[in-house]
Amino acid sequence: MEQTTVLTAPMAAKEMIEKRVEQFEYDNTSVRNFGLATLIFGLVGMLVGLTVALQLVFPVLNFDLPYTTFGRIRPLHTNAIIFAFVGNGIFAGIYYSLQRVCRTRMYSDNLSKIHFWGWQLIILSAAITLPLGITTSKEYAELEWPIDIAIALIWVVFGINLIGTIIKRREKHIYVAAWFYIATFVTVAILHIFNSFAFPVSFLKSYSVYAGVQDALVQWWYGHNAVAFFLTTPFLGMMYYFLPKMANRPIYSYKLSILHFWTLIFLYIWAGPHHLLYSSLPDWVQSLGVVFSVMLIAPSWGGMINGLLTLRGAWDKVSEDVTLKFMVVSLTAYGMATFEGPLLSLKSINAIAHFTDWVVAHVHVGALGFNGFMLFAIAYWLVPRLYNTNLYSKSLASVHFWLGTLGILFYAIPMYWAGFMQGLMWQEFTPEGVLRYPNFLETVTRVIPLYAARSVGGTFYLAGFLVMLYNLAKTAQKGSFLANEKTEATVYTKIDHKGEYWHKVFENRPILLMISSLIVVSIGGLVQIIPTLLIKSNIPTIASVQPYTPLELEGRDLYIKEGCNNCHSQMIRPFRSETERYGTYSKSGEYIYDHPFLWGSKRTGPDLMRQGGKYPHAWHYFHLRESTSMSPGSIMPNYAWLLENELDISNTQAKMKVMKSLGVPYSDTRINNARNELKEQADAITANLKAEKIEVKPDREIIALIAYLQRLGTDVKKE
Amino acid sequence: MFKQHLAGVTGFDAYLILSLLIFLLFFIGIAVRLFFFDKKEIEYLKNIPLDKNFDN
Ligand code: HEC
Repeated sequence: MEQTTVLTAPMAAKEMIEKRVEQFEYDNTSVRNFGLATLIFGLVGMLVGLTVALQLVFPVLNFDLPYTTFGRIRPLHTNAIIFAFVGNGIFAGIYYSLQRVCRTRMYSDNLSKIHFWGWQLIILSAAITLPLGITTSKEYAELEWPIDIAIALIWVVFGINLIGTIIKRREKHIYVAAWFYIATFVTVAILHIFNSFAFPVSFLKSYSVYAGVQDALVQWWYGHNAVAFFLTTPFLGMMYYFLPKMANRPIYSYKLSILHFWTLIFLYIWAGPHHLLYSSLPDWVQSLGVVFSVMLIAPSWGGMINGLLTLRGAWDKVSEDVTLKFMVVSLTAYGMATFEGPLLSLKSINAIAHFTDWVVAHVHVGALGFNGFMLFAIAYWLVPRLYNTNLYSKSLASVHFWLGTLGILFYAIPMYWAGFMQGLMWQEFTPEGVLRYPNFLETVTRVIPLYAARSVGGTFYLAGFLVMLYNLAKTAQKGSFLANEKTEATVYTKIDHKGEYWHKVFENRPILLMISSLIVVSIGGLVQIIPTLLIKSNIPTIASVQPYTPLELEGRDLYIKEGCNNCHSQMIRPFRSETERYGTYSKSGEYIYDHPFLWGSKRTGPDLMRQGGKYPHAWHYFHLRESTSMSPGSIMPNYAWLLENELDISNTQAKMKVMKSLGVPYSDTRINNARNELKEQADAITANLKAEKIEVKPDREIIALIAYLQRLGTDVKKE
Repeated sequence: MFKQHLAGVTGFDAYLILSLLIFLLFFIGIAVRLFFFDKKEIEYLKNIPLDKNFDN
């Protein structure tokens, strides 16, 4: 190819085109609003987090109330941190930095307002529905369908505002931070939409259109990439803006930023299946997940190194400037988490770590370290600027830095220890060849002291956060808020693309950038998901696996409502240690009627895949009423209200109809007869309990839940 | 029909290799393109957050 002269340098361009200076104002109000929401919901999210942490040490903190039990408020904690704290944080960071790298006000003040208030309403609805047990059970996607639709709409509002701003920019080039923001918008949109496909039963209840293995695959394609595109790409984008600002020097390597941008978004999307190793997912999908997860370390570290090297030769600055200190720890935590991620996806390590607190430690290094600390750095840098003043107290910020850093260490170390220890205990055999810890509970009680230590770490972190709130409030108080920041920019009109490389044209066009990211992130998704969805033979059917009875279906929904899946898995991996403890390992054909899947991701309690028939009905009755009555020392919450609450069967038939339309073979006669069938089964269980001298009405919730638990994993035994 | 299709590729080694190839090509494409990136332009881009590009 012949070379043409390139008119890329602005010096050259300046001579050819008209130059004008325009005056305008940056919108700081949206930034302040999102920032304020970040701080408020950070506090809420961390308080709930500390509560759930303490519940595992002191189960009385479940308060024997449905709304405050672990299974319901653990999702409240994760959603509050991810979508309310971090979500508002990235919006604040994006709204601030995007206007400045584009040298323009946000595209539309109205859209900014709708985005802000819409997002807060979504958070509010989550805060109400989750404690009420209104949940889809899919991790980080627990909100029910009307809220999902609202999220999609508000996300589009954000997207229009984002892309609109980039289109009307005064800066000819699109700075790399904005690339990351565009990829965030595009990918989260796809992830959210595809993972939320559900068939409504009623206003607040729906079933995932996917079942079993497919549902799991889609869910972790989503879950893993929510980490990538909600918790990572926006943060890298913010790093590329705020770090140069804080250090007052440009980023170390712009080329590296572009290289790691494209490789990161390309690779991430393939890695989801590493959440499902040794599960019933087809082997080839698992292998793809592992290979791409390992490769992912390169672009991740590319980002970290680019950030840290930006500070080369300026370490004296770091020791003085607390915002830079937060930044350095944040990037270090990012590097650690992204080193550990690939390790965890290696099958041999995963075999020990999966389902344990190791994973909990891993995510908290990311959340507390990478996300939290970067947001704190930005807050300390931003609030004085928004209020046109200096930070109230540098020493308090230092105190926060140390409390936070110690908090992360005191959190992570005990959790790594707990995870490692418990993972090994689950696998340990005596020389005689039997499990050393046949009683699961024993492996729990041994790690409870570490849970207590973790709560101390969390308390430190929270204390530091409170110090920051005070410091920032004082800062705001002494300054005055600059709602509209006057500025000006040079504008070049009539930019001619002729004679430029293809990449120049490409880079100047946000829409094109959006589409290319869309294509790049779609490749991995398509290669994995389409075959899994289309090819039936990926899931060998098992003749004896039958749909749930109406009563069991209702019981299953109670299991979802109470969030039992937050502590219990339903996935027995093909290890001797697991088959010995739980029974035959899980086959993909066993889950074909599971809309949604309930594999779980953390075993705070034992796996329940083969629970059916293990204990008599009476055992479950007493255990659910008061777990310690059957298992002294248990940390499982008590579910006494299940004995009192009448089972709501108003939707049973509607539920079966929805299931039928999703491919579950319920005949019309069976659906019509559902109430009788349900009553018969309930009466039988009640009679059985009565024989054990337990008086309970057949129309109580506990009967349905027992029916479901007794069904679990029994189908294959009939073969 | 699908079944026969699948039988040939069980283990899906082909899939894995193909995926890695796609990535390799993609990576090389970007690397090559970055290699030819204009130096002055990079300097300009780098300085966007720092307002140094403007006289004002
Ligand atoms: C805070 C975590 C937690 C939650 C939430 C939880 N469990 Fe448990 N569960 C445990 C622990 C720990 C054990 C082991 C000790 C024991 O038997 O109580 C256990 C044991 C069990 C067992 C006995 C398993 C066996 O094979 O011995 C069943 C059945 C059970 N849980 C059902 C449920 C159901 C149903 C729910 C939801 C209504 C639920 N659990 C919610 C932690 C939890």
